[in-house]
Amino acid sequence: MLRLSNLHKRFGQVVALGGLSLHIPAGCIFGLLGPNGAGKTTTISIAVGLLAPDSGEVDLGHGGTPERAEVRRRIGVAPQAIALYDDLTARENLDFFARLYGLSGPQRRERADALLARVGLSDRADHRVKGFSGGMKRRLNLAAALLHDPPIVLLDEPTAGVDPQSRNAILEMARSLRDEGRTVVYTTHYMEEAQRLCDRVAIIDRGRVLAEGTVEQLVGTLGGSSVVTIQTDEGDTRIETADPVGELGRRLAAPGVRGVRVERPDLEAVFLHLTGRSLRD
Amino acid sequence: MNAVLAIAIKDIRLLLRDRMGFFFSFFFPLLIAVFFGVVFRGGGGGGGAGSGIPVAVVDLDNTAESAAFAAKLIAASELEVTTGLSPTEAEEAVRIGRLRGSIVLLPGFGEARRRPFWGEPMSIELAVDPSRAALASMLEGVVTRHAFEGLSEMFADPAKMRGQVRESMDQMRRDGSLPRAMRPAFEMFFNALDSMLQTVQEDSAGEPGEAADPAQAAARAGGWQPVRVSTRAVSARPSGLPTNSFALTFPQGVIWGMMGCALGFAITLVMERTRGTLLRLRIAPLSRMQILAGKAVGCFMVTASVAATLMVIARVVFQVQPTSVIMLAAAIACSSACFVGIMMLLAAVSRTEAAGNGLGWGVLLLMAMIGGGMVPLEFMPGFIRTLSVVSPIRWSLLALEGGVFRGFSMAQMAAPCGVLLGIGGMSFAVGARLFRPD
Ligand SMILES: Nc1ncnc2c1ncn2[C@@H]1O[C@H](COP(=O)(O)OP(=O)(O)O)[C@@H](O)[C@H]1O
Ligand SMILES: [Mg+2]
Repeated sequence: MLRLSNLHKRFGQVVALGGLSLHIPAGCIFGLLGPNGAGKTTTISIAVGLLAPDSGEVDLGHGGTPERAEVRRRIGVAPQAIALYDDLTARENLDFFARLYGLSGPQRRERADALLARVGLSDRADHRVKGFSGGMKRRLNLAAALLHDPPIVLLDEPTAGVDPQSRNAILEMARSLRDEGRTVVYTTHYMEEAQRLCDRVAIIDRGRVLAEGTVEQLVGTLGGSSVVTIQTDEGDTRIETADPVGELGRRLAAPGVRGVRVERPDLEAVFLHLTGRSLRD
Repeated sequence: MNAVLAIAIKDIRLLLRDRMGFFFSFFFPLLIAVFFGVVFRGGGGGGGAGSGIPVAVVDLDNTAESAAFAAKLIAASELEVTTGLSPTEAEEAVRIGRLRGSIVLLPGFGEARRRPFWGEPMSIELAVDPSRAALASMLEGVVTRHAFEGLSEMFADPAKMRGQVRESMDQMRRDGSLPRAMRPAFEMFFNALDSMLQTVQEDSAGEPGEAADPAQAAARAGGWQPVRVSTRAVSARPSGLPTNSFALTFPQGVIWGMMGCALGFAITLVMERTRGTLLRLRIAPLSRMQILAGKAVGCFMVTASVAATLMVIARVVFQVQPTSVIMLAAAIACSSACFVGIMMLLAAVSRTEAAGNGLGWGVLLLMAMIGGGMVPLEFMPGFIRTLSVVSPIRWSLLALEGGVFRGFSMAQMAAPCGVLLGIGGMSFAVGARLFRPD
């Protein structure tokens, strides 16, 4: 459980957060979806105590604020900007970060080995990070957040700049973290990721939460109509409808139908509806 | 504590893997120490490139006459003169072998020069290293010759000279302490001198070289002594270090090593910020003080190890025997602590690695320059020696030399060490306050 209440943050003239509030329930993957500059990273930074908000409150469960070291022990963060030592090997990086949490030697070795295997870097464990690809660095960046077995994991754009293979591995990883009972906060500006992965999504723009709910709820209430396209010999007919299934049932009875296409609304449509802008611009 | 140590060890590992950093904090200093040690080997450890005997000339008389004599010594090809030192500084320089001798023109020098034939002679004190007897007597010879050469010049102006002879004769007559029996001899000598000068004057072509001889002859005959050169032995260090130029160059090498380490560490701290890894340290259950302490401990360990390693090399390979290993260890510890503070301050004010490198080398080179890290302070003009008190390098060098060959006692070591710890503590406090994690 994680609660952010009415967070405000300015950087000079720029209002990064303008009264952002979120309640993130335990044990789910919670997506923060918004375009670049929406305030996702600022939100994460405040949540983990890297930044102090101008006003507002953070509760990491049981009233814990991130200023307290023992509360920070409960969170793991994979920062958006990869935070690793290039001149250390993958294993040395993990070993060092594990030491910061006071893990014993055998514990460190065991955790590092397990995590390296989990992110598919076992065979590169003793290579310096310097020579890693973007995707490999991202995976190690994620592993470094999990060494101390934190119940809350915050992943800030964990798939930025990676190959499709690494992306799938990372998404799979996020799911398994949730399945282990952790709370996963996942920020992204990729609509598809949020849609595929997240149990709940908050749509963020200009430092505010515009809407929050399950993907179903958001699309159902804010996505607008589905589009049913009926292909006949005379050409295509495009029908906007709130009830695509009923529409299809009626239309398919007519003769000469050679094909149909149903376009259900998605989070992109939700964002467009809320802001009048597209997510990817 | 475990986390503090973890940060320290991680940084040491990173520094060892950074070839440039390693070069500047270890090989380059070693190179400097060895190179200059070889260059100055047997040459007494430094000074100008001239081939003269390195000496100090200290003018305590401060008259036109003493200044003229000092100028003569400076111009002498046999000597390589340093001026502006106090008698104690000059003597210390001789003691540690940076100079071969100290020539002190005592008060009353000018007065004695104006009336060379009576009263106290021109007094010159020569402080030399007795372990080099040949050199000492050679120096004595050079100084005496120049003193007499000066006198002989006066013979070139017989009219002036006759005035001086008459003045001396008057004083002699008034002087009650002169034994009665000797008076006629002096009367005779002065009269002879006067008539000789008269001849020279009338000839109007006096040969100064010849004219000097009767004076010296007279000195031998009647005990006339226009110049008194008293030679004093300066107690050289028991280790006999003045003969080992490496004893002088290795402390300087250590200084360079410490500067390289401090800068390397400052850069790792700046990089933690620019590369984002500081973020992980801040998220971890550590306090800000623990993070900075980790940096400080790592920097201290590396700095002290580099210094110790260089001194071990000096001992094993170049036979540099420290007068006190304990004092040397204290000097290394206090210097390292000072450089930790400087590291913190540098890291705090540098936004980027490039800025840190530029600023760091700039500041450190300046401090080295005015602190004797490049050219020994004994060879620097007086105002730099005064200015040098603000440079931690001066104090660090003094402490290191105190342990290596100056034979410092605990009390003598306390001053530079106190200054070093003070500068270090203050820089660290200011740096830690100024350091912005984001
Ligand atoms: N350190 C900073 N200094 C100045 N402006 C900042 C800083 N960090 C973020 N901002 C601004 O705050 C806004 C939100 O940024 P951010 O939280 O990084 O967005 P996101 O992560 O959603 O892309 C942006 O307009 C950004 O330019
Ligand atoms: Mg961001």
